[in-house]
Amino acid sequence: MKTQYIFFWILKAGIAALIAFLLLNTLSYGYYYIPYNIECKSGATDFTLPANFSGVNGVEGYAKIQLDENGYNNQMVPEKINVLSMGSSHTLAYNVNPGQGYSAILNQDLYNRKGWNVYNIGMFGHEWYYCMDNLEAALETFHPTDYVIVESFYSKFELEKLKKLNMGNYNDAGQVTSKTMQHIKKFPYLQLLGHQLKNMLSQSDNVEDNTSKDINTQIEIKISEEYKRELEVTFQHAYKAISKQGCRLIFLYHMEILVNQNGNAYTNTNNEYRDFFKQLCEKYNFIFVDMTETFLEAYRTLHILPRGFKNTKIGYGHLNQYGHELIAKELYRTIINN
Amino acid sequence: MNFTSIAFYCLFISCIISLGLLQKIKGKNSISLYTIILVICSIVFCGWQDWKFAAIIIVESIFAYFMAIKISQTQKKIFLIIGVCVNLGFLGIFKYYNFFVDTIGFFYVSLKKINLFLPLGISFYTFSAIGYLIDVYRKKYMPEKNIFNVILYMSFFPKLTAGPIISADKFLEQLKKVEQKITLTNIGEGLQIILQGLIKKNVFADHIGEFVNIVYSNVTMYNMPTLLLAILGYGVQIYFDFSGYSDIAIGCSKCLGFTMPTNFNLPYLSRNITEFWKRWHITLSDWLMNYLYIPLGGNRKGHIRTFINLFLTMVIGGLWHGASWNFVLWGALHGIALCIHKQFMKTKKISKDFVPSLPKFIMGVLGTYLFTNFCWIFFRITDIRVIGQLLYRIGTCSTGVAFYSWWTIIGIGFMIISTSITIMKNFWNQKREKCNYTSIQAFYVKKDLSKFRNLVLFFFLIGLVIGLAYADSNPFIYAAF
Repeated sequence: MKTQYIFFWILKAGIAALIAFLLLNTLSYGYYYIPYNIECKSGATDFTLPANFSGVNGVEGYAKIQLDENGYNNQMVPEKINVLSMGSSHTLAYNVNPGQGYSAILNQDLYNRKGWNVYNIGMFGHEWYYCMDNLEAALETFHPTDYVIVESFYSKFELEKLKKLNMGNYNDAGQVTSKTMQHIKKFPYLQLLGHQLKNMLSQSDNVEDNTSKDINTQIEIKISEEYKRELEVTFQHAYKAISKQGCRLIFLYHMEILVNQNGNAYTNTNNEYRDFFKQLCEKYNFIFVDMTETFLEAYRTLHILPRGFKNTKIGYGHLNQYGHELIAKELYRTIINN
Repeated sequence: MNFTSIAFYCLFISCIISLGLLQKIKGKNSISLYTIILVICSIVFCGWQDWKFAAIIIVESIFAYFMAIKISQTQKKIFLIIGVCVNLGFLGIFKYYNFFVDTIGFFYVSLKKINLFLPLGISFYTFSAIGYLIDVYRKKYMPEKNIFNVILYMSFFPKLTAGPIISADKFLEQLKKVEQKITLTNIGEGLQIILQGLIKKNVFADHIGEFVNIVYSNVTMYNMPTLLLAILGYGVQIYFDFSGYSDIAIGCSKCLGFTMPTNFNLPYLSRNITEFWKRWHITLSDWLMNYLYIPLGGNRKGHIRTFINLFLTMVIGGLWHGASWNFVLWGALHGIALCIHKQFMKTKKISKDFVPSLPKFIMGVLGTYLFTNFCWIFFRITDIRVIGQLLYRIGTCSTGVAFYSWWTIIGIGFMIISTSITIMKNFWNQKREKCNYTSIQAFYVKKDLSKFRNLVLFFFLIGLVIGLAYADSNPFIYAAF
């Protein structure tokens, strides 16, 4: 009798847990449901996302996600692409609503002004190295007629990574999600649990914060000749790819703005490396858009920081709405003036 | 090991299973075995981070055991004094020595600091030990004969880190009850109380804590509304953090068959500062009153002496929280406020049972809420310059970055809503005859888990806590004391 009671209670608890899970899942559709990685056949990015995916990201900022038929964050796929935008999750802009990312704002402004289209192929984890590695394939796939923007949040690169990049051995930005995981990720609540577990295990800030601490350091390390050579080789490869396509390359550089105890903003940019990068851009006729002054000025006059959200930390993490607007304005000005 | 770690829940579940199996063994021995299992679990909990923590608590417990017997046998005050001093000595060395060195450094006396660890829960079990010795001296009860019971009383793991502080007789009385402790009803209730604690701590307190930490780390950066939000946010954070901890401690104890005293009773609904200390960290207030304020003379030695006793009690209470002058200042502010309130009550000849009108009640609640939040600034920020900058920037309505943390706003909203629900339930229970809003009591939501819909809700809330919990590390605030 007691055994029967226990058995039925366990059964009841199991069904209750299942119903609770379904309720949580339903709620999670409105809180955290992000796309998984699938294979990108064109090679324009190391992976892409499911076509026409609709989701939401509420753990950092709160934004709807709506992808196009190629799995990128655009409202539509234009027939002709004037400007191609490449970059990381900052460019992907999955922390702001559709239309609020810098590529989307730029698209709207350029379309109104010149009838131009901007196409965004920003992707999770695609730092500058990956974008440079995929540049040729991206140009061949999307044929931008006027500009290609490559985003970077650092100006000092790692020598070993540059060497790998130049040899064509650069790693993939991430794995394509396995079929099993794809099925699991169809349950938003399980995605949320995965996200929580990942955070608990890592207990660290976003990649970009680590990068800014690691690469952009205030300790002025002398730039080596080997570094200069390797970076130039990278630029040469890029130049070849750009020349074939017949468009211009814009390097977009944006970094974390830090604030000291006196309330003054500063960055950890290594000026020597950034200046060398700028010199190379001039040499190869690339455009270097440096957001440093714009971001600092925005803080000084309007007290806004380009990164961070009200449900995380202001100043850290991904570009927020203000950051995207500032970048879009700067890019628009650059393109119009050129 | 803390209450939000997997290791703790493994230990806790093992403890319950062991005790549940032991319950099947009938006879006297089962009580001793019950105690020993709990002692082992408590020592493991205590010594998990560092075996020395466990060693110290065992030493103090054994000392308290023998000293209590000596006090009871001789009834000589000298042994009580020795007992109290030795316990305070432990606390003084581990917690206050370096603070003492820093303080006398101002007078150009230089002493070497020592690099000592702070044993887990030392502030709490020291108070438990002192309370035990004083009660034995006062002949409130006889000293405990079983040394394991004393060790368990001091080290009982649900209450070890941050209370509630329970008197020895109340704890030991429950320990010695022969009847079944591990019951499904107790476990069901206990788990629900734990869940309520986890919601407060992991979902709200930790998220708000991230915001408060960011703002207080650089007050010159933010605008006035953000700074105000941080002040209010910290008030909510510390309340949810500490009351959440207490809920988990009470819930775990309930699962093990013990009833712990309530530690928080809607403190932000207090009409005045005196009531605040009857609703906030209730067990500490009771301890301070019984073992410090009353022995100092209480209110029996005249007007001026009453104020001095009150002020001293609060200053010592502040210092107990942390070895830093900002805690002393915080305690002093509360001490002054208590004195002012006492004088006010006397001057206006207001009795303790007086029920104010609703508008006066609301004004009192708001005033007390704002005052306690103001005092929390001193509790939270150790650097006096930062406090100065913060108050200056608020006073001058400074501009800066706007950071209106969603979690803080939601947390404040949750506190208001849950308090409102509590008020309504209290009124409903009073059958709307006499709406005595001054006697509103907090309660735990305890549903019958044999009912299907309650089970769904229970699992749903567990899932919600896991999904929304702040995933980075954010230790319990009071665990540092």
